[in-house]
Amino acid sequence: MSAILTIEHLNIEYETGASSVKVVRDVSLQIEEGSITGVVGESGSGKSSLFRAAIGLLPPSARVEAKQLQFNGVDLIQQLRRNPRAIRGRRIGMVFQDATASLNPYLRIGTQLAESAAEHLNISKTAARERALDALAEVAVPDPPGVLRRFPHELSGGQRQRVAIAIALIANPELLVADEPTTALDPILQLQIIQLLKSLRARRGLSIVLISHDLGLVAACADRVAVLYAGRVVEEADARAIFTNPRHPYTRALLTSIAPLRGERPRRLCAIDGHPPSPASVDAGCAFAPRCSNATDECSLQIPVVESSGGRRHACLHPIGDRP
Amino acid sequence: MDPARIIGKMTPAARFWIRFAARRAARALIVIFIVAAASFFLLRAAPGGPFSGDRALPPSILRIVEERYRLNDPIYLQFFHYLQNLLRGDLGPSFRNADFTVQDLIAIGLPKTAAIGACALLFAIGIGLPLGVAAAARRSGAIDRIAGGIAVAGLAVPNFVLGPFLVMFFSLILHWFEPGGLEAPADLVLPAVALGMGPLAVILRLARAGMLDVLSLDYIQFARAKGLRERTILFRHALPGAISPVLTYLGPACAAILAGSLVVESIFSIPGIGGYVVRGAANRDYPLVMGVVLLGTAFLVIMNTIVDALYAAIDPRIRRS
Ligand SMILES: Nc1ncnc2c1ncn2[C@@H]1O[C@H](COP(=O)(O)OP(=O)(O)OP(=O)(O)O)[C@@H](O)[C@H]1O
Ligand SMILES: [Mg+2]
Repeated sequence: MSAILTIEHLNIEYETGASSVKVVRDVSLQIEEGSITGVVGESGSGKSSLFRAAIGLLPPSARVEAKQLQFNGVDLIQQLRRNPRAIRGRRIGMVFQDATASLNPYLRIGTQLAESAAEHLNISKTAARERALDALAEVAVPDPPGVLRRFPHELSGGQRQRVAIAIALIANPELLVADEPTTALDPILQLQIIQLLKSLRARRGLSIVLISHDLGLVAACADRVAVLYAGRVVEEADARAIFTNPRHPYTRALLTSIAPLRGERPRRLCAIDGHPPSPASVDAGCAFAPRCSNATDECSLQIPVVESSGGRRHACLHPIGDRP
Repeated sequence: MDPARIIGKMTPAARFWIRFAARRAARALIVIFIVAAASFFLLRAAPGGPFSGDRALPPSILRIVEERYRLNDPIYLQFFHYLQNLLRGDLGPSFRNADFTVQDLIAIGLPKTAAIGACALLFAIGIGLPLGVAAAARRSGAIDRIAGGIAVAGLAVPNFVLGPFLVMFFSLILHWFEPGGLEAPADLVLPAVALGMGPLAVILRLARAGMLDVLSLDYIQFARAKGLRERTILFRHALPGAISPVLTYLGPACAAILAGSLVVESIFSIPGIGGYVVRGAANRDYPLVMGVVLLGTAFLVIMNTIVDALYAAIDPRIRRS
């Protein structure tokens, strides 16, 4: 398998008045073609910023700097500067957390679908409508012709998220970034959306990035998982390895805090003590050290180097499984 | 066929519009009745009467005149009589312009007032809306700064200052326009600008603020993520949501233009309706004042109905309820 998206040494900072906050720090990540990659981390860990950078959707106050940002051999940084619309929606689709807020309340679903198709595929109005019907059928919305005529408020929450996914996929992008696509939905609908993503991957060979702070959902579908903490990738591995054999104490802490998904015997829920650091306060040492049970004095002095071996990597001085 | 069956067969949208029209027509009748009653009785409560000017009429003639205009009937009977005529579209004779009915006078003045008012409104919307949208699209850019200046000036300078200034600058110094009168279409320009500048400033600010609000919403982010053109995002996606504060203001804007036309018509010596109101009020020409007040009321009711219809036409969520 080859990488569809390669991120190397990416930094993002937001300029807020006189100062600036670094929210993504030295992130390197590869998204494999045809895979589902889960990106997990607490709120504020920089998940959305990281992938918004990949389609140039950050606000003007953001400074992005990277050694490399490549998409299928294309230099994204250059391409986004020259012609962002050749990437956005065309080669990378994106859906957001709240589909209700993502869909334009003033426009019919049919308009919102067809305009994307017409924009990217250079096809006639009737062809765009056909394409819109197909796209709705693909995300398993009942009665596609009826839905085309409806307005967003006339659909259910789950249907709205399906429609948003259909819109993001209508121009056949190779990568779908789903930024917490299920957070606004109830658990049954969450699972249905996850099933939909899996079937899209299987049918179209679509590569998917699933951003979530819910490890349970990620466990249900991801092939690989990257764990972000305070803007850094602290651990990345195959999903199975992450769940059965986490190496970073933060990953383990996340795992013990998941609520059981379904069928499992309820485990005791244990939240991680302390609060995630504010991005402005992290400077020296491991950002997780103040909340970490394995931490030693060294941890707050130096930023742990990334250790990689056996297809996985972690950034920790005292990883789980290493006995001193 | 029975009406209930017909209504049952219509699409929800058609049903909405029929109910809308029926409700609005009923409301308009009530408003006009209330305004008619209030102005009828208030006018007569003011001291003096139509024929008690400085040149008093001889008592014998006064009696004949008062009889003819039924001024000696009990007041509720006069009102009843007025309403009866109103329903037939008859606004009565003008007391002080003998030989003219109120309809005649309105027919003479209304086209001029309407022309100025319509031009002022078009000017305010036609410049204010695009400028506000452009200012928001390039925030803190050159257009935004110019628009900010126009908004401040338009709000700060009242029409009775702007009007004479325009006359001085564009007619007396530059000789581009006539200083007054209404002979050619070009004569509309200065009065329309004087009248429309205030509403333009408000529309500009509302459009800019509305646009900035909407541009930060999730559905605009999503439209960007779809890879749409900036033009499509601005006009198709952002404008409908940004325009509702402007629509809300259109009712008050019409009222402001209506009131302002009294002043502006006198600055530019245009014989519109405004002069009738001023003279009619001074003369206690009851039917004339009543006629003009009711005309203004009907105009505002119609404009507000149009605004509400536009709301519903733009926002599908309103049509549902
Ligand atoms: N426009 C901005 N200006 C300044 N700071 C910002 C801006 N957008 C985001 N941030 C900050 O950047 C950090 C990372 O934000 P981001 O939205 O990428 O996190 P996230 O992991 O997606 O969080 P969540 O799970 O809540 O969506 C946060 O601390 C946030 O406050
Ligand atoms: Mg986020």
